[in-house]
Amino acid sequence: MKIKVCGVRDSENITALVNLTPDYIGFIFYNKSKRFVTDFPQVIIPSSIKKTGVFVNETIENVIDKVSKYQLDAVQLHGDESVEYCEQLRRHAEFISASHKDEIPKRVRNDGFEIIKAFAIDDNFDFLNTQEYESTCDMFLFDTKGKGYGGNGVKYDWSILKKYKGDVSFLLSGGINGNDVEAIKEFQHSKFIGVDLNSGFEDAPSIKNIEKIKEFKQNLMQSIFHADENGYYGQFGGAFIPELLYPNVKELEDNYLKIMESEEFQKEFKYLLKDYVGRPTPLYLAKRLSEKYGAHIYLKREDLNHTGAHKVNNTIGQILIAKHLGKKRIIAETGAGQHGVATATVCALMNLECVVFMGEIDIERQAPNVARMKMLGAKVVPATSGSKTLKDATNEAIRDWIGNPEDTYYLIGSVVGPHPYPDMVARLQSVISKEIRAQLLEQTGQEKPDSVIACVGGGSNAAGAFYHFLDDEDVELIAVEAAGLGVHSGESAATSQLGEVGVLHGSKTILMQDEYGQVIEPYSLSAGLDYPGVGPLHAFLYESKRAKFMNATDQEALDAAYELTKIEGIIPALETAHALAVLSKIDFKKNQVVVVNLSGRGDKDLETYIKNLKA
Amino acid sequence: MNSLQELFQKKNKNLCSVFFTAGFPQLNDTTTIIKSLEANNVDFIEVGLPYSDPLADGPTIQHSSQVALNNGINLDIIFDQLKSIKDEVNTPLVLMGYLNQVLKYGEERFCEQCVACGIDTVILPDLPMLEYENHYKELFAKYGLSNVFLITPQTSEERIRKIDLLTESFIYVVASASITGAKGEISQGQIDYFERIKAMNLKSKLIVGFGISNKTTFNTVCEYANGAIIGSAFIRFLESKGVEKIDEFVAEILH
Repeated sequence: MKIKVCGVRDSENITALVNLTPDYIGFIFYNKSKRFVTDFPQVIIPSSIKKTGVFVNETIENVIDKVSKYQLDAVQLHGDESVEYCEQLRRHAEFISASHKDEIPKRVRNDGFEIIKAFAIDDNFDFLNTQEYESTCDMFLFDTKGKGYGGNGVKYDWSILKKYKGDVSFLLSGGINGNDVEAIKEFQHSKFIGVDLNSGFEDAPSIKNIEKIKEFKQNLMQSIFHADENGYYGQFGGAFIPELLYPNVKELEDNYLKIMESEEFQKEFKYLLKDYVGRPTPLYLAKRLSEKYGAHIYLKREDLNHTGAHKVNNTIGQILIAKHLGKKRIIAETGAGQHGVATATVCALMNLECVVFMGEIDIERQAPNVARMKMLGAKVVPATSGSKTLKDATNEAIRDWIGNPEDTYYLIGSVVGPHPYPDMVARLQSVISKEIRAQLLEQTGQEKPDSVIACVGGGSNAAGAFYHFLDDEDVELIAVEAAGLGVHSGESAATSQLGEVGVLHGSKTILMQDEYGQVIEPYSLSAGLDYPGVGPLHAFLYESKRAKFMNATDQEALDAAYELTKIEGIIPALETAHALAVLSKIDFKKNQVVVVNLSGRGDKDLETYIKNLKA
Repeated sequence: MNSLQELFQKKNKNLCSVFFTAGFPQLNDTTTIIKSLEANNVDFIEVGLPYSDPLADGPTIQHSSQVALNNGINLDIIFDQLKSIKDEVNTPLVLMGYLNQVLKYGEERFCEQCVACGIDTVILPDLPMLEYENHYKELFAKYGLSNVFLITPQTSEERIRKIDLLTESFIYVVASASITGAKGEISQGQIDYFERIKAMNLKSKLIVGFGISNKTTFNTVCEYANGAIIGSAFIRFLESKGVEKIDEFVAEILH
């Protein structure tokens, strides 16, 4: 969201404003305006903020004169300037651009200046008028129609902008104030890129209230896809915990951000991710896979992390948080054993006592991981209640935590559980999408892919792969759930398709339950995906339709795993194979850039792969 | 005035409450158990609504819940059972379940059914104070339902004071930092905690639960609180001796 602050002239005020890093700062060169600039303020404005001159029916010569004199980055035409006028101005802009090519100007710009055309909107505005301006203007500004040219300080009904079908992006303008944050967030238009602020944020004409703008910007930039202060994503999340757990969770809630933002934590976390885990993991263009599906398919190689999956990003982060909190004993739940191994690993690294709860049935199914955990020095406690699988292991871990509130830290393995866990784990895993952006930029010149695909059990690898794209609506997010023997076979873990709103393990989410709210045990061949709920972020991504939820059956996942092994020489984890399985279900556009989060390697699933491999 | 407030006016010492799991040991034992507890002068009764994932409960109650669910118990059957004895039973009943059961059943519908069964007090351990105030306080008030909050040795004084203000009947004083299930004896640390709470002079009645399993523990905590709740010990008794001998169990505690 771009923010333009218009109508300034006081040096001190501008200096304060610059610290808020708006995208544009507007100087009004229209002598009938209350904010008319006579003496151009001598303030250093960083080149990241575009200095914009606002003109009303001014001569081209005067405009150009101001542009060169004050080194303006943009020109806003707020009068009745014709298309021809704009064309003429555009030629000047191009000339400046050309003439600057061979010199190094003080402000590094060689593209002339931006042209912003303002339109005064009322109920009768004909949006066909904007069409012919499209070829010469970089941006439009839709202001309220009033008696004069701009500066009316009142709003119009933004819904009329639905009629605007043009290709040029626009700013909303006219009487916007601090109370409009929610309305702005809700306003939907594919070409809407920002807001123009003026009188709604002033103490006196041209004197901006810096605090008000600061608060507005903070509120506006608060993504709806990040947990709010009570841990909610829309209606999902929160902390539905017995009073017995309140002190434990509260201690973490009060401290997790402070710790995570501290320099000490950042330094240690980055160091361990790099030298112990082996990050950054490669972003690999899978050529043969790309050829097969007719898209540019990149694999984010989380399988190359130490311990063989993305899980370790989270356990490294949380063990550092536990240490900062002075905890001596770490407990964790595990399904297939991956999170248990990742937890036991970091506990060995940090010399902390480790107890892993694991369903009795899973202990039988996942003997190699049980052996690994023991070798790493962890105690593996069987969960013998209920269905004796992951959800029961989670219950047992929570019970242990209730009984040991002071010295014990509960290290949750996914973006589930009471606030702050979903937010904390998503932040720790967000390193995945941070790297994807940087690597894609380096490899393709674009930092955003068209689609990101990840499998979802609780949802931590998907949360990490989506995180830095959540607010980029042009990046399609695809979450893939395990359909087991088929979504409606009765043997499935496709929570979004089969679940309903409820409370599980301390947060409000979507979960599989019967008509009386009893939790249903899900099924998937993959032990990492058979969780009856999803993290609250994913419940919200599903409900808000921000992410597309697809699913893959056991067999489809197996086939995808065999395929990747054969054509790329990578044996993926069975969980990850679900994400790969939807490639054959998507109709890709030509040159579509797709990132699949290759969350884990398949060593642990070899037995399953061998058993199911058709001769 | 709700049924518990009426009870507390008549009696405010040595209040004996028993918890049992609806539908356990047999599906239709619910009504037999309530009538028998009333006949044995138990002051109020907690009816546990069996849940698949009872986070705050220990293995004994979880096991009984699983048995009850396997017996085919559900909220509709429980409400029918409670309605069938509504006119015969005068002992206050308190429902204890988990929030997801209420959510799925429908919050309004759940409240309506409580009223139809003559129930005016519920305990939902995973409904925290913040959520209660934001989403349930008004709804419960509309149906005359009062919510019971738990406090533990770790609950801050400030939070206890706030809970006291929100409480209409009693505060559930969790005896120790642990899940439900008998612990044996009451430690000095626990006594210090009970004394600390008693000294706060709260307006609400204090009922101690978790780990109260016999006459000794019952008598000890009643020195510091208005009464106590016995749960897991009763479940274990039912499992071994059946519903016919409930008088023996209560007699052991009260006499």
